[in-house]
Amino acid sequence: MADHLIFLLLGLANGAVFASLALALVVTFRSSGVVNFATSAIALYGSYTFAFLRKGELLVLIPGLPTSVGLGWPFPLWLAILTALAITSLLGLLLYGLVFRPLRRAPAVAKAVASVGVLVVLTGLMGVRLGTRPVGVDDVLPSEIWMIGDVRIASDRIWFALVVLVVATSLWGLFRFTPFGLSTRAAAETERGAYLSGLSPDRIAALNWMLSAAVAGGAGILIAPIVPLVPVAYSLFIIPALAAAIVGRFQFMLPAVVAGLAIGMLQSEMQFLTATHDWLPSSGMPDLIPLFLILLVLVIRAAPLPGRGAVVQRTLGSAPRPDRRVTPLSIVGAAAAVAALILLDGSWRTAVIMTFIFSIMSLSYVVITGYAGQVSLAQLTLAGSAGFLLGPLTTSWSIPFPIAPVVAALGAAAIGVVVGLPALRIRGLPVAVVTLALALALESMWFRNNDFVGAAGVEIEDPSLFGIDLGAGSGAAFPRAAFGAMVLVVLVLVAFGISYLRTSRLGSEMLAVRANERSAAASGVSVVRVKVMAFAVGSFIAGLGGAMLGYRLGSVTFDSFTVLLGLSLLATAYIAGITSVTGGLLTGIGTLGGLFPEVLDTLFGSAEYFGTIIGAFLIMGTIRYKEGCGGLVLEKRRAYHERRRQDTPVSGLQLSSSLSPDRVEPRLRAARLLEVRNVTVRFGGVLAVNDVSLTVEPGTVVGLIGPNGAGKTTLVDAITGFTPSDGSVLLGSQVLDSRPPHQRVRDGLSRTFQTIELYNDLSLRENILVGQAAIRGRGEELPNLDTVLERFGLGDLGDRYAGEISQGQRQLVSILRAMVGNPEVLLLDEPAGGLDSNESVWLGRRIREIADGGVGVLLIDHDMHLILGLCDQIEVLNFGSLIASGSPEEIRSDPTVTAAYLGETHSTRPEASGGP
Amino acid sequence: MSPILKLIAFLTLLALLSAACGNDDEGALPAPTEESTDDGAAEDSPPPDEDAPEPDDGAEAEPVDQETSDDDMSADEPSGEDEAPTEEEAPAESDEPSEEDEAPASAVLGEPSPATGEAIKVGFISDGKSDAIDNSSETPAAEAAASYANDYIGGAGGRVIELVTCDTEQTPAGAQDCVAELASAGVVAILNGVSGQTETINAGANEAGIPFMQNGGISQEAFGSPLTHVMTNGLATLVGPAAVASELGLSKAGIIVIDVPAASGPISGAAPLFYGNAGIAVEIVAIAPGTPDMTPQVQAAISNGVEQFAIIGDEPFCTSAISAIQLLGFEGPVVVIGPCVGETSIAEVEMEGILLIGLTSDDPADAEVALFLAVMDEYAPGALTDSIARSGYSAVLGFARALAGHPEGGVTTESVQETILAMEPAPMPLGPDGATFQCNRQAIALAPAICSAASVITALNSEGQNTGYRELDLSDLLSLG
Repeated sequence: MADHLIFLLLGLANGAVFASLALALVVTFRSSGVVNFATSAIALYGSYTFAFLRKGELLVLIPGLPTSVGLGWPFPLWLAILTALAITSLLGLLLYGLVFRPLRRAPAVAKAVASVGVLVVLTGLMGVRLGTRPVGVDDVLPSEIWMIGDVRIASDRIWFALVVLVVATSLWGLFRFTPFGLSTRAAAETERGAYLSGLSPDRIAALNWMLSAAVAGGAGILIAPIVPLVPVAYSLFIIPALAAAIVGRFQFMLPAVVAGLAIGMLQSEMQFLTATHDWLPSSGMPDLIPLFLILLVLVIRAAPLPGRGAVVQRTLGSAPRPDRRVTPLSIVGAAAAVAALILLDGSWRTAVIMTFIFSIMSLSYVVITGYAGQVSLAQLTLAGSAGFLLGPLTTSWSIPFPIAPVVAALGAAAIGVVVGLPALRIRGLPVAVVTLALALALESMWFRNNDFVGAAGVEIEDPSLFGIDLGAGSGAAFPRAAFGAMVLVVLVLVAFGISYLRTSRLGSEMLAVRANERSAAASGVSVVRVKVMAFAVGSFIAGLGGAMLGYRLGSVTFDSFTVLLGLSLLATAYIAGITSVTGGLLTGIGTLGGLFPEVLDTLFGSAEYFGTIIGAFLIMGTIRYKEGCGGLVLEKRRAYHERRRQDTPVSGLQLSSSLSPDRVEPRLRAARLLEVRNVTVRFGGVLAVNDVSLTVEPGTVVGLIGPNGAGKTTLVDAITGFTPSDGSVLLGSQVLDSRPPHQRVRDGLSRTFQTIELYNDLSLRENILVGQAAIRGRGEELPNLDTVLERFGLGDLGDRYAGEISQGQRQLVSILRAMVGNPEVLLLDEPAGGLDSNESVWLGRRIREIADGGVGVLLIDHDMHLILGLCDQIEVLNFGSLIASGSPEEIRSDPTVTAAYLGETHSTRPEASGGP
Repeated sequence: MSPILKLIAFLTLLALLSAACGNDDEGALPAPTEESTDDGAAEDSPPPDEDAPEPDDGAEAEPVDQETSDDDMSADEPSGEDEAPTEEEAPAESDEPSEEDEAPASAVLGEPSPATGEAIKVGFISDGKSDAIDNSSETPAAEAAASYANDYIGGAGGRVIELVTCDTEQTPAGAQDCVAELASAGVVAILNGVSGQTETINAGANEAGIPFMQNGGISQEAFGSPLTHVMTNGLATLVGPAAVASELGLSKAGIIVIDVPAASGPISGAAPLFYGNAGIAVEIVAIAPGTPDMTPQVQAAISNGVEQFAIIGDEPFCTSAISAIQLLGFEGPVVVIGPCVGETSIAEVEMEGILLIGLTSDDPADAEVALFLAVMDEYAPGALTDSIARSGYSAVLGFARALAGHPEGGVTTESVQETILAMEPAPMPLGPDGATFQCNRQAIALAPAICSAASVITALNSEGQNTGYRELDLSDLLSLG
């Protein structure tokens, strides 16, 4: 027991390192929404500056100037610390002004990518300017030896941990109790809010950046006496620090700091366990600690679908449907690639082949991130896992060529699914951090583990097919054109595969999930299945790329697949355009080892600032093209098509297209009765829906009305499974209570959303296609989409993007999307919202026709004219309880209803669910 | 079209065009890096012409007349990229010896004996410079060694050494590209001082049938590869500490090493054998990259009864390790290797008493060390003379010495390999007085590629300098027993 205590204490220094960086991460994120991967580089800059000041010099990172300027005398400790903190905070101001201010409204992913750019630039500059000679730093904190039992603990380690805790507490106090802190929190909520309270959000953000950079710099100064200063010294500390920040939800400083300390201490304990227990893997166990901690926190806290209040941001560029798979451009491109392979040789041919390989890998981002909206930082690692699998497959198992890389890629796909599992319960940047931690764990437990990988790496047999040698060759013959041709074929197959995927049903479902998980689930799409498929397909593609790289290397080691390389590959892919095949190909050209670096190398010689230039490109690219420049090309193409279609009218419903009753979808099965029994929903202590029971008969329209905040949408959420509830929901005799939302849709319960929630990146046809997931789930015959569109007067608009049509048309499409699932009960949430009275009447007629077809309809709306004119039965909800129920005539004359609407509409009682 | 897209498109087009057009030329013209080494080789000849034009050589020089005239021209107009400063400063060099009271460089360099035979292309691979590892002093020192060899010891077997250099960019892919590039350039051997990519270079060179000579390395693969020659006893870094522990009569020792397979793999594979030969239990303390503070791992080892630590790694790694060891109050012997010792001074690190296993000397009183300093002074004034530079220098000079007996006639990879195998014992570059190497695959039965079984040991003083070497006998431990 004493041993364990000692090791926990010994880990305090490492814990303090992670905690201090986690603190800087949280401060940055709280004020600017940036997950700052450059935090460790800023910390390093702080410690270098400090070390130079102690020597009496001022560090200058600007190329061309001397590395340092003599200041005459070495700074005393406190002055050096304060000056270094001031200089680092100026760096923070500079970063805000140049990089993050222009990006303040950009998607979170773009900000993170820009921070990767900053990381690359800072590390590159320090590498060139300071060399790899370590710089020594004297003690900052009092360092004496404390004896605990017979173990010596250095007091500076303990002090370090205490200082971090104290700083975190003071910062918490600063944000909690000072006007500055208050305005920071206000500005973080809404920029406009801050303006209203008479503050300049700009100045607040600038101050916060200075503060967070100073925190990072302070962390660096405290770390410096423990870790010898070299330019890459701190780069890997970011992963445990991110894990700690996640535990603090990027919001709470003390939990993050405590988590950081805990990670360090537990890692130390794990070292001890690994050293004393032979059965534990020799490598990588400590890297599991941050991973498990994140998973534990996230999985406990997260919900399978985002809540209604969650802001669904459009974070990525559009992923337009390719008009044709084989465009003249792609033929020219392929021909140019073949020509390049034949004509070039030596390093140029290598660059061409590497371009192909990296293109394949980046196409995996197109599937996972571009289509399905999941940010994975593990793709290069997954590629590596295929490379490492390929070794034994080709040597020990002697599996022949085309099969071996496919099997290896399937292996990567399987691992990719595991990596993607956390994405089933969490979303957004936390997913990215989990994948990063998983990637690191894979790297250290597998790629860097002597038990699996020898010193020379894992050897891979050359591929050959029908007696033709497809190997990369060696010596003067390297790289052989035949190998390049093989990689090109793989690339072309993958590219076509992805363009096929985009037009397939799965592709539409991925985009639906990316756009809006709730809405996708409401269309009967299994969000879980789609995410798993996305990770599987994406990782398979990454695996193919990794296998190709493995063949090129002949023997794979971890160096080619490190976590940090993976981070910069994602950043490049993002800039190049992560939502399209074009972007994937551009990534291949721009990645280190590809054509663009080779060109730079040829033009400027072996530039030592190369890394810095690449980083600068990343930053500028992010600022200029927040959605990536591959997206820009597509944007232009879309605009071009837009012009060609101008003759088609876009706005206004074609109200004249009256429908005769027989035009409504024929029922394929007898509709059942929807029965809601004693449904209750609680949000914390608030009773949002209180013991509501109602029924919707087939073929009738039931209205659900009530003032704002009465719980109408929450009730629909509960019925359709989007919100957990007590009570029972029955369709006929089938109890739906334990069914997930997409299954309820397949059971016959379709809904629309108040906010419509169409997929703007999908054409109308595709939007509706997604809705057919429900039918497919039941194995029924699919109706002809053109006919459906035709019937609803949208026949000409099938290829338009949902973002381009009028509000009324959007309402109609969302209803159509619910209808093509062939539901027995349709729940419509404010379908007349945004429609004028004519349109509303027209819509009412359509709804009546739907009901006449045998479908039960539950209709929420504020348009009393529509409700009273259309409904067979009306239920009135207030404060979560049913207060009245009856025919339109009865409701019209019910005094409680009038009171609810007139008397209590502006009730001060807290609204249960933030809107009707 | 956006500016960045335009730039990318333009550059890509430019690249394709220039590459496509340049393709035809490449057969005739050597690769770009070669040009710089042309200069490297080129600047060799002038000094003898100036200093001591031997009438004797005049006649012999005739066949390489063109070569020499080329050299003169390039010396006059410094067109080389890397070498330009060297050449510019070279004239000033003649004044310098007067400032130094020591023996003039020429005395140390000996009698000029220019290479007169045809030029042979010899590849030199270096890891270059990155944010993590800076080996950039390696190539200039290698070029200096080539120049010296060409001027003073008749090059390699009378032929002018023309170095073709390449940078691995510290990746396996880059190392692979280097071997391919050098093979295309038609080199007869590939040289390297030290590299993190030894495995890849070794595999590539052996596959391509090109002899590979390395100054220092601890790659198990390389130690057994037929075309590979490792001049110094890389095993000493592993076996030396075992010998120390054995001398002191310890029973358990630890080895601290960075946890990447290329480093920890060979060590955990071979250490039990060698330590076992000495009757010592060994514990490998593998430290994952990105570990800020090593005290937990070191304490775990101490708790397990480790009585001595050997540290295998570069300067920052060693500093962290020594810091942790001293912090925990460990009082047993600490043994380090050459790359470990640098100029870092972290307050907690006390270098005094740390044992350094050396393969070469850094005592200027030793003739080979004096020669190195004189050569660097003459051919690469101002360049770094750190352990990386020493390694690069040694590889090239060792190659030249190994090839001294190359027969008349064409030089091929096969003839080079045969000559190296048949070499007489030659002075070990930078070795202590009397140390030799001989790549006849006999020095260590376990690792036939190693050309010398010698190693030395010294205790460091508080400045991290040696306090006199003594030879460390490893023969018992290197047996297979």
